[in-house]
Formats: sequence, C-alpha cells, structure tokens
Amino acid sequence: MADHADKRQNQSYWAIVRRQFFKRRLAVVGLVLVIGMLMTALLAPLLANNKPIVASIGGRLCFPAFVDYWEAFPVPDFVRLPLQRDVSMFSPRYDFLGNEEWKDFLTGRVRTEGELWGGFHKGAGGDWALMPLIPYDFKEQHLAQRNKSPSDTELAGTQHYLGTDGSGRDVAARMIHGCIVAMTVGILSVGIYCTIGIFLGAIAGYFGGWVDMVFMRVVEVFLCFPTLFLILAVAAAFNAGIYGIVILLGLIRWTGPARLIRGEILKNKQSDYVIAARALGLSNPRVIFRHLVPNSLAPVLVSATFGISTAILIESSLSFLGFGVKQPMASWGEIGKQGRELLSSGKMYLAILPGLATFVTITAFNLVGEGLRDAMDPRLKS
Amino acid sequence: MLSYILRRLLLMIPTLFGITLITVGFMLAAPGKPGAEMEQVQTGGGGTKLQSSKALGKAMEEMGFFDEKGEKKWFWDAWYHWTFDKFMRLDLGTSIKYNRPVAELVWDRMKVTLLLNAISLFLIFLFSIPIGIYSSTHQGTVGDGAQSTLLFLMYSMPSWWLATMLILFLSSTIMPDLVAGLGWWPDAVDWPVLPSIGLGSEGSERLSLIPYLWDKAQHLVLPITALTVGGFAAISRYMRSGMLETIRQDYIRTARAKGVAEHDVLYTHALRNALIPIVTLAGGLLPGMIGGSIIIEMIFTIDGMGKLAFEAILNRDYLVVMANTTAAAILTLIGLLVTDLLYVFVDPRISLD
Repeated sequence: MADHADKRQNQSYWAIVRRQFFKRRLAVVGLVLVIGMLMTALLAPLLANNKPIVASIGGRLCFPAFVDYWEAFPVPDFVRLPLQRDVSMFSPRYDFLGNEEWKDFLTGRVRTEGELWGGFHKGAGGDWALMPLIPYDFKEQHLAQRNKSPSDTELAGTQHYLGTDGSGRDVAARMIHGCIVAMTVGILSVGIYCTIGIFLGAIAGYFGGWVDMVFMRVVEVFLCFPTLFLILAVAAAFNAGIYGIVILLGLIRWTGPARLIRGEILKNKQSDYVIAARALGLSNPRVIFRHLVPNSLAPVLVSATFGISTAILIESSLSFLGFGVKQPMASWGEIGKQGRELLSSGKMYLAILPGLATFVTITAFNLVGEGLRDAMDPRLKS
Repeated sequence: MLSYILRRLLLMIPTLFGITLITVGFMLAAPGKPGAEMEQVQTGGGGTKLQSSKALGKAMEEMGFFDEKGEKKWFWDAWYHWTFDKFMRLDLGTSIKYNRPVAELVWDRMKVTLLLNAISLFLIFLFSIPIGIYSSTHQGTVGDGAQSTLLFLMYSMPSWWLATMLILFLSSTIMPDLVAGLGWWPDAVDWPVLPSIGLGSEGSERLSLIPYLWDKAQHLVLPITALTVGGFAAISRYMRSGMLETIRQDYIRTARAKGVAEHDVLYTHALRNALIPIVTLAGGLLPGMIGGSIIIEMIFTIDGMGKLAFEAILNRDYLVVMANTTAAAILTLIGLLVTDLLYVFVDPRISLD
C-alpha cells in the first residue's frame, strides 16, 4: 500500500496529466476523433483518387496514387518535388500517365466498360488494379455532370456517393480532401502563433518595465480589433489562399498565448529554481527559454487545443464567404457555400454534411481541450 | 471615478492609433485601386490606354491615399493625412462607391449592427443566468447533464452552418410539409415560414407602427438566433462553472448554517458573486460579436457594418474601410470601458481609483 503511494508521488507532472486525461471518457472520444481526422487528412489521396492505389500490369507492380500523393496537400514545391522524385525512383513508367490516360490505359486491361469503380478490378492476363473506395479525385471535373444528386439517373453506374458539385467534381472526394485544409490551417496557424506568442510573452513577462508596457499596449490593440473583421478584410483584399490564412491567423492571434505565458512567467520568475539558475550565471535567454518557458507551458497547451478549433472555424467561415482557400483546393466551407446556394433545389445533404464535418471536428478538438484543462487542474492532483 | 474614466479615455488614443496604422497598412499593401470604373482614353500615338476618369481621379486625390498622379502615397503620409486632416477634423470624406458622406453611411450601418448585437447580448444574459442557477441546484441530475452537453454542442457549432440550417428548416417549405404530413397542426393556420433576407419586407417602412414592428421582429428571428447561440453557450458554460464554484465556498456554507433561506442563499449570496467574472466576459465577447455579425449579415443580407466593411474592401473604398474599422474599434473600446465600470457596481469591493 505504502509502496503504491510512493509510486504515485514519484510520477512526473505529465504522467499525472496523462492519467487524468485518459480517465475522462469524452476526452478520449475527442482524441480518437481528432486522430481519425488527422489520418483521414493524411490518407486522403488513398481514400479518394482516380488512380489505382496498387496495380499489376504485365506482371509489374505500380503505385500510381503515390506518385502525385503530395499534390493534394498544401505543401510548397520545394518540399513536394523532392518527395515526388523519390517515389519515381521505384515506380515503373505507367505511374506517370495523366488522369485521363490512366483510364484509357486501364480499359481493356482491368476495365471492361463504363466508369472505374472503387475496389478491386480484375482484368485479362492476370492484370489487376485496386482503386480507392471513392474512385474520383477532388479536382477532376466532369462538366457534363454538374450539380447532380446521387440518385440522378444520368449518374447511374457511377460511384458519386454524394453527387457532384457545380463544376462536376465529386462531392464525397472533396469532403475527404476538406479534412486536409481544416487540419493544415488548424495545426499550422496555431503552431505559428504559439511560437510568436510564447517568444514575445516570455520576454515581456521576464523583463517587465517598459518592455512589458509596450507589449501590453500592442496586445490591447489586437484585443480591441474584431479579429474576424481584420482577417476577412485582409483575406478579401489580398485573395490570400491557404498560406495567407495560416500566416494571417498566426500574426493576429498570438496575443492569447502571449498573455498566458506572460502571466505564468510573472508568477514563476521569483521561484527558487529561477533564482538558482540566475545565481549560476546563466544568460537571460537560457533562463527564459530553458527554465521558465518549459515550466509555464501548460495553460498555453490547453489554449492551443481550443485555438485549433477556432482556426478551423475561421477558415471554414472564410471559405463559406468565398475568401478562403483557392480553387481547386477543397474546403468544407466552400462546399457549404454551394449547399447554401442550392438550398431550394432539394439537395439538403450538400448544406448539411460539410457543416456537420466542421462541427464534429471542432467538437472533437474542444473535447480534447476540455479534457486537458481538467487533467491539468492543480486542484485535482491530490 | 471620473478621473479613472478620463484616464481610460486617454489611453484609448494610442490604441486607436495602433488600429488605424494597421488598417492603413493593409489597405495600402493590398493590390488594386478604387478605379473599378476605368475608362479607355486615346493617347497621342493612336493607341488606347486605361486611365481613370477625371472625376474618379479627383475623388481619389481627395481621399488622401493617392498623389496627383494617382499613385499610392507612402504609408506614413497616408496615415498622417487620414488621422490628422480627416479623422481629427471629424470630416471623414465621401464614399466613392455609395457617393454619400462616409460618416452618415457608417452611422446608418452601425445602428443596424448595434441593434443586432444589443438584442443578442440581452438574450445571452437573459437565458444564461437561469441556466447557471439551475445547474447549481441540480448538479449531477440528468437535466444538468443534458443541458451541459447541449451547451457544449452549441458552443462548437459553426455559425455559418447554424444559419444555413435555420434557413433550410425554418425559411423553406420543408417544415410546413412535414407538419402537414404529421397532421397535428390545424390546417386553418399556416405554419410560420420566417423570412431570411434583410431586416424588413419590401415597402415595410410605409406600414403603420404595429405591423412594421411585427415585420421587423419576424425578420430578426433567424439572424438573432444565429448570432446568439455561440455567445450564449460560452457565457452559460462560464455561468455554470462559476455558480458551481461559488456554491462550494465557505461563506455559502456559513449562510446556510446560520439559517438563511435557500432562495436568499442562491440569489443574494451565490448569484451576485458568480456574476462578477461573467461581467468581464461580456466585454471580451464584444469584438467577437462585432466580427461574428459579418458572417450573419452576409448570409442574411443585412446592411450592417460587417457587410459594409466587406463591400468597402472589395471596392477599395478606402475612406469607408478606415471609418468603419475605427468605428468598430471605438465601439469595442467603449464596450470594454463600460464593462470595467460595471465591475464596480457588481462588486463594491473593487475601486477603480
């Protein structure tokens, strides 16, 4: 018994937090949902694509979906191109056929007639191909099949589970790919603004005096600014795109974590360990970033989790208003916009589903945030 | 008290400067000019080139953001001109797009946004305080659990989606059809279908007072609901945790022990103390609400500040953007000041001097 108690006493802070977190069923549900969303985003090109995941043509395996895998992600070219080249090293030449060429190529080999469907195709001569469950790309347009609902007779024999949008693109594929945008904007922008906020807040809190006063003035400017107003204004004026939104959110929303870390540092800077560190002659940056900041991070972590859901909300709102990510990138807000325009046409799912996806994602992140906050509550530690 | 207010008002000046600096900065950095209506002019060489019309050129020069050649001024010059030659002299100029004095235009739109936000704020407090009280007396019951789950879901709901859903179900024939199918609604009375565009039917301003207000109220239902839900959920959640924390305090136990009636314990002791942090939260809600009303105004085509900001930015109507942003910032600052003053009334222990 006493042994057990000792063991608990020796647990590190994060071990306690982890244990407290996993005690909360809803928080765990939120975490599972978040991980599911992240996986969906990462695997989107394998879930919805118009190229086979694996195919065997003439006895050779090829992986067409992997060749332009990163094209679906908002990664800059200098990151994407090397990745793509690496894939090309072990792929046979079939991989580099274009979308339409692929379809023709597969005709007569694994496809008999009609559209490619999701799942396994077996053709003559031992050739086969495994297509993603949604056999459409997020940007592949079929102008003849615009605004079709899944029950439309013209679409009979195809696998547009959710029909097509105003440009004849598959809505199900775009819903899956919308995950990428939501996750990228959420995580990247929060990463940026937490970095800025921690840096500025730590400096202001540690040095105090006029540095702190200037800092608080600047923070007040940002506090009084209706954030959405500013973000919308800039996004509309610059036609920003996804990087623009990420950078904007990063530059505007840093005041939250900055104030939190400033408060924590004001509280902690008279602690014994800080005085000890300074007595040892450590430089100011070292005291701040190696000793004070790591000990003051907990509240920032909680606010960052909530911040991700806010960022996702802002991105979807911007896209809903038509100033979010650029075409052909898929965003839930943009699909919702189309749904809003088509409300009277009876395609209710187009208005309901993208919002629902946003809603579930935001709820999941909020659940995780709540769980973290409760788990870190010092009153529960005993 | 008076010196405190004066000090706060003086402190607003640097904040306002900061906000105008940011706004001028991004307006000048944004590509494009207000010359949406460029006209083709014959040049000496026989070719044509695009040039803004004389009237527009003059208007652009009057704006103070462009020099006589129609080029954008330096950031600092433009900011100085707007702040000291326009804003400080209370002459905000004329809008290029609307051809109206900017001050008049912004004031018109501000009234609409203020109306929306005031009603919304009132409803938020009207509903969230009883919810906090209910939670504190019914903690752990099914009702409390259901209510806090519902609040959590409302808190996470994207307002654009909520607005779309409201339009889909309350402003279309879906609900009437459903109700008619169920057959429990009297056939003689139409199921109400709420309007989803604007703040009044066409020609409603000619109606007499009662029908006018009735028309207005009908138009307000959907936007107000969409605007209120998020803030309501946030405040209710704080109210709930605030009440639950207060009810566990020692002085509540003391009050109960000395035999104070339960009603008095709740309303005089607990509620008044739980309200203190809520008042500050209301201040924090303001920027979000003014920002959030952009989406609502866009979806429901309401001519408020949000929609004005939006249109002005797209038309590069610089003066309107400047005035509108500054007005929104001043509203927010005043809101924050009022919150701090309310703080004193709610909590007599706090003194501002």
